Amino acid sequence: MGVHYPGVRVTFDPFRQPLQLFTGKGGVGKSTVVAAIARRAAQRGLRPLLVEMGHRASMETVLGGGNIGYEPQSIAGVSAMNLDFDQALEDYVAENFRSRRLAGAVLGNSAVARFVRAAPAVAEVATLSKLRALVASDEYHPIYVDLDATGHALMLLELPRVLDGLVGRGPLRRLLAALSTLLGDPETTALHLVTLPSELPAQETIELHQALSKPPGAPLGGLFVNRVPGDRAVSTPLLDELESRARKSNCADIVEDVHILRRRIDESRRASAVVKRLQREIPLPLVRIPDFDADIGPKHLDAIGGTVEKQIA
Amino acid sequence: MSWLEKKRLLLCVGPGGVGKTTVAAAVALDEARTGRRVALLTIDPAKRLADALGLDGLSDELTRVELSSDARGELYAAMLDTQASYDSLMARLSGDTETTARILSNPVYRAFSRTLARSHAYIAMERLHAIMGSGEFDLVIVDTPPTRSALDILDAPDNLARFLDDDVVRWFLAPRARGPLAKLLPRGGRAVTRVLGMLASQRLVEQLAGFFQVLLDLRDGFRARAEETRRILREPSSAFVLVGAPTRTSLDDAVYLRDGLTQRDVTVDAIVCNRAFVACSTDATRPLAERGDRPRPESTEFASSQLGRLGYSPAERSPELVALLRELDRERRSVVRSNRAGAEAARELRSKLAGDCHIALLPELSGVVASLDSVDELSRAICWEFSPGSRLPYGI
Repeated sequence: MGVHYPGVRVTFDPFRQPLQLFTGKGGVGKSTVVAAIARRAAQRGLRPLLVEMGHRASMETVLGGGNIGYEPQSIAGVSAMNLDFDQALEDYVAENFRSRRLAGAVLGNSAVARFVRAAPAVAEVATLSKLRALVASDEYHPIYVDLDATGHALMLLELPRVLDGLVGRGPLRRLLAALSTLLGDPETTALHLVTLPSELPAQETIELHQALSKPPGAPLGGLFVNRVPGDRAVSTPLLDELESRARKSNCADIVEDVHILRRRIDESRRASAVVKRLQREIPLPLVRIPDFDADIGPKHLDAIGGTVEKQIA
Repeated sequence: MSWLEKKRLLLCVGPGGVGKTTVAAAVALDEARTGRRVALLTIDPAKRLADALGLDGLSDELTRVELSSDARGELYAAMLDTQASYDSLMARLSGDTETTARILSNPVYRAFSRTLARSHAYIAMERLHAIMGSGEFDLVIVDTPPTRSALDILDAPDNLARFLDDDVVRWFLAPRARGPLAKLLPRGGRAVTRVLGMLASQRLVEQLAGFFQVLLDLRDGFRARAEETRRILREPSSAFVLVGAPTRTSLDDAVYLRDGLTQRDVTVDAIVCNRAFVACSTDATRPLAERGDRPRPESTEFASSQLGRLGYSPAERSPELVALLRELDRERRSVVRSNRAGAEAARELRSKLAGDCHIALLPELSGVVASLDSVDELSRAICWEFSPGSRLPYGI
């Protein structure tokens, strides 16, 4: 399995590279898509880990309950964790001191704690360092990361470069070098974009793709378009005629019905125009996820997982 | 009279993807129409407000938006450019060009002001302070970045001020202190600096020290502003409006946000449930309701009853026509179902928030919501009448 696309360095297969990052603006259903793919991976016999970035609870909602903490635990058939910044930072410090007690003492100092909250890049460095450790441990494969939002992904990817000129020799320099390698290697990392078939999210995704394509370029995987409405095979002349009859016979309720159906037809047309535009402007394999019109739940996740798998096979 | 009349500052908070920017713009437009002079400030790093207002672009400076002829007030909008705002803040605070140049060329400052997420929060509050202070506007509306960052915005002024007050800044300056002077440093300071130097490299610590040194000079200015912004945010004339969508994830996010705000002594004054329902084609404020008197679409009498009402003769009845009638009915039922679910979600959200919270439900518009016309349409559908105690307008 896996599809090679001309001009793209990455083999698109969300079950292959150990680090699978997903980004997209808020509200596009990113957590749902990531959870569905992770669940599918588990069903295929892999050992996936779902990673949510701290301070939110969308993954808990998507997986249908539970309390996701820093230690991975199994929920709805997948291991999941919340990459909390404070604990990631403790891990980072402990790694460099080889003593968790000392790390705790340093971070327990209230002034230091305040410093790390106000200082730039600390959160990003600690987060990436933890992701790297998870990849290196080989306990889970693949690691699916639900990144915060569009800007956040860019920030993480640019971090090694932003800090490059600032950092002298030492453990941070070594870490940044390691992170550069990790995030730039198409054999290890794939960054997927998730969007909706509507104008504003699509526009933002196109801009994000442009930013990510600038040298050195991130290893991009696929473009997931979520909640694509189904086609409406309705004869327009028939609908027109029916509407004029409804008006003549004073059937206001049927006039209203026609109005709604026209609205849906229009939405479905606009969505396919947006999908075409995305295809034109983003040279990545595009996966359509239909609008299942279902509430969240394991069945819904499996439907999404199934349709994703079918399209990349 | 709208509850908004007495408000001078409105902060729109909420999860991403619920149309927060559009709602903020619609409220701004609605208030401008009634005769107020409104400033709309967006700090969403995604450039959406310009689209929503039908402007070609939106700059860091407040720009006048052309309104329809029935508007009695004025609307100005700006999108925060983090870098530009930081640079001008430093210039204002430092007062002389030499200090300004020193700050602007510091590499830590460059990295900090340009690229990092949380730096949006500092500058957002700073801009808010400046606009409120100008006294030029009757109402300032702020469209904040998604959930977590909304809390960052509240914390930002305090964090920065407290941080600059702190021993830790002096620890960073420690490498410069030698001999007897070093004894004056806080106990353990040098150890911590050494630790940080080890972790983050000596060079970064030195550069940070340079950055802090200049910030330290501006400390009083920062502290005064932080205090004032803190006060403004908690004044009775300031309001927090929670914008959400009627979905499970949005509800959970909203409750998380409410808890975070409560911890910070801030109450949510109003909720806007965006895209809460599909409206009747004739009235954007009235949700489409059920037709209770129809037979089920799969029944045999359905087709004959509907075709009869429409005056189709038996000869005109085709399978396509019957299929279309069924499709129309199914679609209607599906819309009514989601309208009801939306109402349920709005009710749940309100029950989780304080009892005296205002609520507005906005319809899901058809078409692209990226033009001034559609923001205008949405603004005319705003109605705050679903205030304490009143029933939600769904008849269920």
